[in-house]
Amino acid sequence: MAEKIEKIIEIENLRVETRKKVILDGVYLNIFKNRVNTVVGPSGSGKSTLLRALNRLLDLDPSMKISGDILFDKRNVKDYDEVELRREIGLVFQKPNPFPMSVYENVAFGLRLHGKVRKEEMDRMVQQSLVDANLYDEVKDNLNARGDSLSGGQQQRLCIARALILRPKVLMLDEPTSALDPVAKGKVIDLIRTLTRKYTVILVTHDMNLTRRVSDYTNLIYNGKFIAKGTGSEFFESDLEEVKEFLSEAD
Amino acid sequence: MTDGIQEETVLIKWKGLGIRKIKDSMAKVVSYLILALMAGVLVSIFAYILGSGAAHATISMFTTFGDTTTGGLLNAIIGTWMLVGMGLLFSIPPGILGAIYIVNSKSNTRVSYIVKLFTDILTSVPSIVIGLFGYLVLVIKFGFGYSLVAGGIALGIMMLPYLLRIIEISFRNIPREQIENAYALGADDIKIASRVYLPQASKGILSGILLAVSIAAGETAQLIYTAGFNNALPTGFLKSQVAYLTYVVWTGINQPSQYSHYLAYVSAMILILTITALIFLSKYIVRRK
Repeated sequence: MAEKIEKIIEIENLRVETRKKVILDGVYLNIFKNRVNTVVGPSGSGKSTLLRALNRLLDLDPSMKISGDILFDKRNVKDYDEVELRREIGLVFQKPNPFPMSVYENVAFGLRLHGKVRKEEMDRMVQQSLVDANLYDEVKDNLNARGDSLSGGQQQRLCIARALILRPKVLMLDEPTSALDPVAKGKVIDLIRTLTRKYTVILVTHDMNLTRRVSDYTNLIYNGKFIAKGTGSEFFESDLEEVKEFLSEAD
Repeated sequence: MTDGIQEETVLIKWKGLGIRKIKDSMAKVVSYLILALMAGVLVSIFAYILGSGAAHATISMFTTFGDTTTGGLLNAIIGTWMLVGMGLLFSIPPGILGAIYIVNSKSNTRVSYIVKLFTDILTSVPSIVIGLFGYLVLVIKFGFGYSLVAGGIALGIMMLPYLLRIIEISFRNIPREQIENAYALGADDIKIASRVYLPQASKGILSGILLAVSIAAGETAQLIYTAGFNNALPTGFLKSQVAYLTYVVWTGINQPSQYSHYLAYVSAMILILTITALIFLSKYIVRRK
C-alpha cells in the first residue's frame, strides 16, 4: 500500500426510494482504486440496491426514484451512456447464472455484444479472462461444455470471467460466496484477493468472515443509511454502537 | 363373550374399511368412465374420418388439381399451406414485437395492459366475424379481392393472439437474473431481445408457431369470405383466389356426387393427420432438452 490511494467512485447523498419505501436514505461513500471495498450490512439494508445504482441497472425499474450524485472517475454516472458505464463497472450476481450456452460462449458474450472480434483475438481474451478468474486450468479441455454443467463454485468464477472480459475498471460482487460450499467459497476468496492487481473490487456481503479475509476498506450500511467505514482492523475495533451490534449479530 | 366382542370390533373395522373401499372404487369407476367417454369421442372421430378417408383415397387425389367435384386435392393442399404461411408472415412479427414490448420493464404499463386486453378479446372473436371483416375491409375496401393476402391476413388476425401469449410466456420463463446480467454486461434493449429473449425462447416460439399453424390449418370461416376457391394454384398474391382443404370438406358434403363426398373425407383425413402431427411435434420440441 505504498502507492497513493486514489478515489475512483464518490457517492454523495444517494437516495433511492420506491412509491412504498425508502431503500437508501442519504448514503455517502468512497470507493478506492485497486482495493477491495466491502459494503456490509444486514439483509434488506439496501446493499444490492447500492450496486445497481452504480451501474444504473436501477434505471430498468421505472418505479425507482433516485437522487444524489455518483461520481465515477470524477464524472456523474448520469452523464455516461448506460452501455459504456456498464462496460466500465461490471457486476457479478449473488446466484451464479451462466447463460444456457458453452463455457466459451458465456465468457465471449460480453465482447460479442459490442461488435465483431477476430477469432484469434477472441480466443486470447476468453483465455485471459478465465485465467484472471482462476478457472482456466479447470475448464481448458472443456470449453465447449455447457456453462450450467459446471459446479456451483466454477459457475460463479465463470460469471466473474464473463464480467472480466470487458476489462472493467470496477468489478462489483454481490454476495458472491453466499450460494457456495466452503471449498468453492475458498477459491472465490483467493480470487478476490488477486483481482485487485488489475481491478477495483466492490464486495457486498453480510459474511464477516469473508470481510475479515479480503476487505481493505469496510463500510457498514444499516437501514439504508451509511453508518461507518474503516480499514480492515479499524472497522472491527470500532466503538460505534451499530457496528458492535451488527458484528455481534453477524457472528 | 370375549369372542363376541372381538368379532364385533372386527366387523366394525370391516364395515369402515368396506365403505372406504366402495367409495374408492366408485371414484375409480367414475374417472375411468369419463376417460373412456373422452377417449371414445376422440377415437371414434379418428376412426371414422381416417377410416372413410383411407377407404376412398387414391393417389391421383394427392397429385392432381381439382374443383371439389372432379379431380384431386393438390391445389387445396398447397393452397392451405400457402394461406397458413401467409398467416404466419402477418402474425409472427407483431407477435414477437408485442411480446417483447409486454415483457420489457421499461414499457408503459398501461399500453402493455391494453395490448394484453385486446389480445384476449381477439381470441374470443368468432372466426366468421373476422371473415366478414376481411371481406368488407380487405377484399372490398382495400381491393385485395379474394386472395392469398386477404386470406393470410384474416388467418394472421386469428393466429396473432395465440402466438403473442405463447411467446410472452416463453419470454417470462427466462430467469430474470439472466436478463439483468445481460444488461449488466452492457446490452441495450435491442441486444437483449436478439441475444437473450429470442435464442432462449426459441423452443417456446417454435412450439407456439406450430400450435398456431395447427389451429389455422383447420379454419374455414375466415377463408370463405377472403380466399374464395381456385381449381388451380393462385397466380399472384392479390386478386387470385386460393383453394384450401376445409373448403373441400365444407362444400364436398353438400354436393350430390359420391366423388365429392370422397374428396371431403380425404380432405378431413389430411387435416386431422396434419394437425395431430403438428401438436405432437410441438410437444416433442418443448420436451427436448
